[in-house]
Amino acid sequence: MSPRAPSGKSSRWSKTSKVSRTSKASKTPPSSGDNRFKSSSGNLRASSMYRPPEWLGRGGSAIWTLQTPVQPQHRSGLRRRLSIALVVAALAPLIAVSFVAAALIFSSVEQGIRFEAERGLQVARGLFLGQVQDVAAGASALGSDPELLAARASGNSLAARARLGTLSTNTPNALFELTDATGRIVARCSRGSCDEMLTGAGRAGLEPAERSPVILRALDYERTVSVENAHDRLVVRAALPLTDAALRLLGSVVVTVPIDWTVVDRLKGALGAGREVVVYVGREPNSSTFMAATGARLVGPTLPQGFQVAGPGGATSVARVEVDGHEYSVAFGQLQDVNAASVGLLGVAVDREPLAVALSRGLWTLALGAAVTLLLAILLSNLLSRRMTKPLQDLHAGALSIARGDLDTSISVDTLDEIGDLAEAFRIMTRSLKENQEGLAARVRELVTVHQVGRAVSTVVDLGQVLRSVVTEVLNVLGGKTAAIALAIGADPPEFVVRAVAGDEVGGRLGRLAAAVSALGRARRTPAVEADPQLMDAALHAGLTGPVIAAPLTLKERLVGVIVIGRLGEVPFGEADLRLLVTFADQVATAIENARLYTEVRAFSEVLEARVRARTAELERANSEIERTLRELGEAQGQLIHSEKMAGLGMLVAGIAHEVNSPAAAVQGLVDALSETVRRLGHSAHALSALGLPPASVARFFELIDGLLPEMMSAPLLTSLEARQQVRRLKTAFLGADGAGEAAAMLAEVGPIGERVAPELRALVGDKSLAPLAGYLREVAFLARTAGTIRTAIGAIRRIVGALKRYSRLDEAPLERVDVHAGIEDTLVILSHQLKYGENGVTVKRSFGSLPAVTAYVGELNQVWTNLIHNAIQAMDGRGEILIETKSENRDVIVAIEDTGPGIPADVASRIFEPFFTTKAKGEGTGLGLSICARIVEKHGGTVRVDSKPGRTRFEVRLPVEGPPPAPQPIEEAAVGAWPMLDVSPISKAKDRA
Amino acid sequence: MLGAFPLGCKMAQPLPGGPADRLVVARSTDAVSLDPARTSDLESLEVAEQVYSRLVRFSPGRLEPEPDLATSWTVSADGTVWTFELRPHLVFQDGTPVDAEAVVFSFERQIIPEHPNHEPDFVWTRAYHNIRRVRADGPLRVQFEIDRPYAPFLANLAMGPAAIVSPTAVKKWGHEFGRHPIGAGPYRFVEWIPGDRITLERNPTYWDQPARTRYLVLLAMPDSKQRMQALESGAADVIQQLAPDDLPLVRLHPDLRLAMAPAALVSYLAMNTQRRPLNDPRIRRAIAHAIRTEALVKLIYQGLGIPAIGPLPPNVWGARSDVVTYPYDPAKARALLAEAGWQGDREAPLKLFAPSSASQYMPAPARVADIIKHCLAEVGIKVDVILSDPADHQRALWAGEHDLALHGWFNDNGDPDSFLYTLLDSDNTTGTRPSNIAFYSNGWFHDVIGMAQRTTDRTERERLYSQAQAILAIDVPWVPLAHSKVVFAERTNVRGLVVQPSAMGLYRFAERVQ
Repeated sequence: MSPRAPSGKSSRWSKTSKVSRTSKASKTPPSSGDNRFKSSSGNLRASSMYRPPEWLGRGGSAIWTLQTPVQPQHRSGLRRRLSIALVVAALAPLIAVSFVAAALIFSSVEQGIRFEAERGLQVARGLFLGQVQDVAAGASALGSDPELLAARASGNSLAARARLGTLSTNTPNALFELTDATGRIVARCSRGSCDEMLTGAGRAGLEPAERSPVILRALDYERTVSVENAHDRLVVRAALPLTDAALRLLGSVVVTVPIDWTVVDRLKGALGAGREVVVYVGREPNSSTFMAATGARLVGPTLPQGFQVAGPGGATSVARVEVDGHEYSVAFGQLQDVNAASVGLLGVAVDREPLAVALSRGLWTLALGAAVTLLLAILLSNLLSRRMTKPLQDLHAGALSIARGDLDTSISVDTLDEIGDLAEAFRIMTRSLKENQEGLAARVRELVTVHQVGRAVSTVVDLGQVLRSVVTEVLNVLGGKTAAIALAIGADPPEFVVRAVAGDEVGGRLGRLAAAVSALGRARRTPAVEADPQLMDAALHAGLTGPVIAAPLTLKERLVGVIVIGRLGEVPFGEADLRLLVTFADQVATAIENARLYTEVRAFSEVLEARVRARTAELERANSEIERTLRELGEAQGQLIHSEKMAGLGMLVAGIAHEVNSPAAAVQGLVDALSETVRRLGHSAHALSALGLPPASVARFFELIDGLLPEMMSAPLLTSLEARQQVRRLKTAFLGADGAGEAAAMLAEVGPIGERVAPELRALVGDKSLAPLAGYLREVAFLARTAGTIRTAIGAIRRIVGALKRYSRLDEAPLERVDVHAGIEDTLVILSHQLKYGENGVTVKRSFGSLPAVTAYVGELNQVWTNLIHNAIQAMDGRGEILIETKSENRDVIVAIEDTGPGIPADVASRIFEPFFTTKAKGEGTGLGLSICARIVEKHGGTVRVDSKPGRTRFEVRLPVEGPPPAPQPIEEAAVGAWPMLDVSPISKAKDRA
Repeated sequence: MLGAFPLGCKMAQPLPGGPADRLVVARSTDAVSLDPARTSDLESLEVAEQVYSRLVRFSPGRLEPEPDLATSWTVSADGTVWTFELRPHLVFQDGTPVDAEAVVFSFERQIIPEHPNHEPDFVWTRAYHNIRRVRADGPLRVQFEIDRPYAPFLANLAMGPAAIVSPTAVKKWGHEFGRHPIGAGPYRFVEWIPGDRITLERNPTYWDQPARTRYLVLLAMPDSKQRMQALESGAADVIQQLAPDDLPLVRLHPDLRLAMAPAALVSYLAMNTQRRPLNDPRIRRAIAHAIRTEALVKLIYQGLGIPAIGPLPPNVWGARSDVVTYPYDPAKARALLAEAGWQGDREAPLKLFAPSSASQYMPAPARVADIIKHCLAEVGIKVDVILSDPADHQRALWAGEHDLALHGWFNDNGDPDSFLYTLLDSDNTTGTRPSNIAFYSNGWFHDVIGMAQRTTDRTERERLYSQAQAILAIDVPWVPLAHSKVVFAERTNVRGLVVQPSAMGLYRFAERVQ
């Protein structure tokens, strides 16, 4: 039995019992419950919030009246439930174990049978293949039989047949055959008798087919053994070549053994009792060891419908089949031929009968065991629950009677277990309950009064009202006829003035009595004040008689007044009354002090308010001054940003002026040279016309020049060495022509084209001088070249102007799709003179990835590139290498600008994006460049990072392709607005961000 | 599981792991030593192949070098300096880092006789004699200086003896390192019960894909019947050195299957070209014509070999199939003999040396010798067959006592040079262990082979080797017999076994499936 189960059960049970008890309590009539909390209104005047319960006044009996009837069926229910729980706890594992055991028995028996069948199949197959090998070995012996070989070698077929016959006697069930080297059967023997047409002795139908593959293989020198289907019977067939010592092929021998009863019986013999063997040809049973009850041999079970035997690959399959009323588990394995093709099946059957018996025996044993266990569990649980519930029932009865209010009930449980402890605890609890109940009632009464008074005095700040309510309450609670409070005024000795009176008016005259009490220095209780030696004079003076209690009101050991209560009758005050009065006295003293303090605070607060008003005016003045300062500072910052922009513009203009100037100057020079050329061209034309060439030749010459013009515009000039060589070659080519030397020199100035057209010129002039043609060609070539150069120069200027145009669309450009590469290229053009004219120049390397267009403010982005590249150039002092790397990552575009400058120290690097932070000398920079960059990039929703070490500083800008987040502000306002105005970092002393 | 043990197996210690965790390989012979510097036998080299990594290794199924410990390599313009970059962060199985120093150590202990860890019985010292210097250039770069441009150098670095060993382990075990091998290969050494088994376990720190099967057990089973039984019963998953007579059984058994590498070995009848009468090429040609080579290969190899026409197996690059051949033609043989003045019966018998036991390249050498004897007898050449055990046979061949000899070679590095230079170049006719046992010496052939060694251009080398094979076909220093296939048998539930043309198993990918 599980030790946990009963405890779990009992806890559930106790929960339900609690529920039933509460439901019973709620069924009791509502009247008594309501009555218990009925208000006694008017008892205490000051409070409307708290009403003391009625029972407080009645002392302690019958507090809790639970009328729970004890029902007899409840008791026996507990025991029944407990015993059911115990039985269930015992049965649950029993059932589970039984199921598992049954499943295990089932599966292990089934698996056992399966395993037996598979094992049998493995053994049978091993034996079978052993027999196959024996056949092969037999054939081998045949093939190396010297007598047979000799007979074959000599061509004596009779001798060979006789020898084959002799050999066949040793293996009665085999067919022996001999072929010649072409595969023709020359002898066929079985059981010692040979006949080429042998049919008898059960060997019929074993012959191999014409051109049998086994024989063909043997004639190709291969030794083969295979399982074959020969006329719907399976046979083992081995064949091998017959050769002489020099490997001359003599024929082949073939040995065939049928797989029949003999074979399966031999396999069964090795497997032992209860196992059967069956061989299938294809899927048809062919021979088996199964016997019918009559003793007749059965052909074997047919394969179950649709049953698939695992294919070649070694897996076995097990199926259940019925043969002659017996159930068997059969493991099937493929029988394959030498090409691994399936020719049949081998099955090993295991009789299921003994296993079925074992199975049912196992299940019966299990069932019997379960029944016995069940019986035992019921008996045991009954016994146990009886023993366990008896003390519980006793305890239950006792607890109920205590709950009913009978605190004298004794619980008669004294077992030595937890229930016994519980009963003892009940006894102790009942005793202390009784004691506590009595003390509690008295104490509660006092507390409530004190609470009332306290509440009254602490909620009122007017002293007179406080005192009045106190005397009223006290009078009520203590049951006096007159009560008064006198306050001490002045000192040494103080004078006592009555400030509050309740009840009889005699109270108003108790000033002297109060003084007398204060002289005593402590609370006083007297049954008859007129007889009290210390108080008698004052009492008589006031006309007060009878029992009196009085207490000084002290606060922090200072006497502030006295409270006096008189009964004017016979009933004396008790000690409890005095105690209560003293308690009141403390409260009253506190109230008096509170009232006094309140008055003082009122006076003080008025002074304070006046002061606050004065300070507020001062603050307002200071505030307006701060505002003005802020405004001024903002204006200064705006100016700074503007000057940063102007600085950039200056830089720009300087660069562009230079870039434009160079080509312009070049054009200027060329134009000067042109007029000279035009003059020389006139002379040449004149010389040409003077030559007197036929018009067709002249036309051909100009046609030639027209064709060459475009090429001449960009044709290279020859070096002087090349020119000399060309002159030499042309002179040779022109040898004998008029003006050859002059023409060669002039054509050298034309360049390689001159040499190319030389033969044509030579042909054109015929016997006339070559010089005018060459001269004319030279001038035209010069003109063309000049035109080409001018075109290049103008192209350069246009490129710069174009870049400038795009670049300078600074602020007005709207958000658009921007090609980042184009922006960088424009910036590089703008900055090109800085790049070029540093000390040794700056090399710019581009490692551009493929980028999508980015949504951005193109002008602002250009400002970023300008700042970063300009910074890099300055950092490197105008010489070094800038690597601009771009790539696209996720939905971001990354532009990295890397320089080979000396790097940024770590303390500087952390601050370079702060506005006004600069390492340049005062006046050289505003310190806003990088911070504007950062603001622009941030505005676009991107980030700038710097990573620096000596020799490599890398600024990496990451921009989202989608562009800036919605509702962007113009950059200057955003930048200025976001900077903490009063916390502008001082311009750095770090000077060496080179 | 006990039933799965073969009957002959010593039951002293169970095999490690469960059946799915191990691959059991039965081989005919135990290893000799597991120190790669000491082993030249196939069984030892096969174990070393599993335990050690080399700078380069042969790709599966082919003998082409691919990166192993080295990720890349370059060769200097003059072909004499080879620089290898090593794979970083690798460790040996004992935790020693695999670095340039370890590579230098692995070679220096073999090639420098004065090295503190050199042993006199190191067998490969001569094979690497062309290495002038091995130098570490930084922690992960090694440079080899060789005495002349030598193209097969890379392939040689993929061979067994080029294994990189843990210097710590070698220094610790000294001469005993062969019993405590530590490398960086796919398997680590666990245990060696001499004469019984070697157990290896998957190396978790191997740089490439870890081995599929946790344990690799290599059993030594000299009896081929016993190996076959072990395979049938499942006690072994793979067996080597399958007897030809067991082939039909494997074919007929549905649980078993052949695993073979393409024909990669060569067996040949070497003719002593330095001695009369076989110094006359006409007589050598006559012998080639007189032997029924094709029938012999079919009968002896039973489908596990193909007739050879030259030294190079067809799957080795550069192999040529269009050279002059000498098919069986006794009439032509007789004519050639007559032309050479062969005196027939009056000539002294030729001594044919043959090993008495089977080898990877020839299953029945005695039978082959007998067939050759009878074939030659038919054309009037008398032959005395001298059978001796493999060691004596080898010694006799080194001494040049033979006229004719049966021999064979396996492709150890996939380079044609391994066949042509080793077996036929005049460089290898001298010394105490000449590998050219035909003592064939032809200046032209020697020049061609030398040129092919000095260039690393594959096309050029193919052209040169083609020329060399043509020369051989004319000179006939051998009668090439067969290229035998390397045949293993495995159970059909074994997957991923690769039989390398070098006759070794590649077990990294092998596993047993259910």
